[in-house]
Amino acid sequence: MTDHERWKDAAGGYVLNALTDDERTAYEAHLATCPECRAEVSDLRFAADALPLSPPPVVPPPALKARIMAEVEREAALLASAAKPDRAAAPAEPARRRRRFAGGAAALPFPRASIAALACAMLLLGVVLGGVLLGGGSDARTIPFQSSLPQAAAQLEVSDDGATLVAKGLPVPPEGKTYMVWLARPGQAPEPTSALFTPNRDGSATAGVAGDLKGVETVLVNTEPVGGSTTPTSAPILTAELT
Amino acid sequence: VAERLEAPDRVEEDVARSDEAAIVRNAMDILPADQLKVIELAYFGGFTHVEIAEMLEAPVGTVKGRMRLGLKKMREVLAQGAVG
Repeated sequence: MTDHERWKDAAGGYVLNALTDDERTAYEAHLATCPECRAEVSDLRFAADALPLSPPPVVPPPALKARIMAEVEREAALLASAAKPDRAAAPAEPARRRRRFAGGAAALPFPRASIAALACAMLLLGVVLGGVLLGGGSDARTIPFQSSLPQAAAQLEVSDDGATLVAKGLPVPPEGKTYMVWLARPGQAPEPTSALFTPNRDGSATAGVAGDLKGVETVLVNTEPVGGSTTPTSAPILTAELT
Repeated sequence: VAERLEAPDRVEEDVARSDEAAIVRNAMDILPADQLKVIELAYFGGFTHVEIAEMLEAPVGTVKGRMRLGLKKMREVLAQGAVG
């Protein structure tokens, strides 16, 4: 195989910045010696440069992307633990570095295609969320939760790149239970979110709330069986009014 | 006064931008779904072609080929639409 044949297909990945670091370095070395590939790169770059103009996808800000990937991995961990009830208590892992995502996913006991679907769905969600948040400008605000437990306090930080729940004084949930965040819109049943969390030993907790907060009247937190529920099965412990 | 003078320009700019956006989106919609998907995953998702190949359970070479063909087709459509 000649050097050129080896790199014949790499131009697309190169202009999309999708080559691995090693490949990019090697490809750039090849470009220096190959006018044909240089011409192709400049051709394809014309198309790649137009991508940011396309609506509606808005490039998610890096922080949002990290959150989406953390969310995808956590969902994957939940699905995996749901598939194996005996190790259901596996803690949700924090976001690992992106490079390890594919490898980690491959080790999980369910088809990778479902991870791809999940990644696409989360990406779309992030894009929509990013669009809403970027379009809405800066409206960072902090909303206190009403707590039904006197020792617990929490607030929701709604910022440009998503909402984060910060709590303290939360008791450890009963065995087999976890805290879960719900979004309620007027006249509708609370919608489940993927924000499931257990507090640290000192009772503090932080949870990212992904999803469109537009039109949401109340953010609720209750306890649910590990893995979450589709409709609330217990009374809310924390309640925040957004409107 | 400066604001008042600025406003119409901005509207024109917005119109031009949404025209461009429509042309680009159109060029993307023409692509076969498998080509568009790898381009979106790479560009908007920030995944490498190796990661995309894993996710789609496709050979890396296939993913690279789809990126290249997809961008090539987009370029042809955009050149016809004379963006820029």
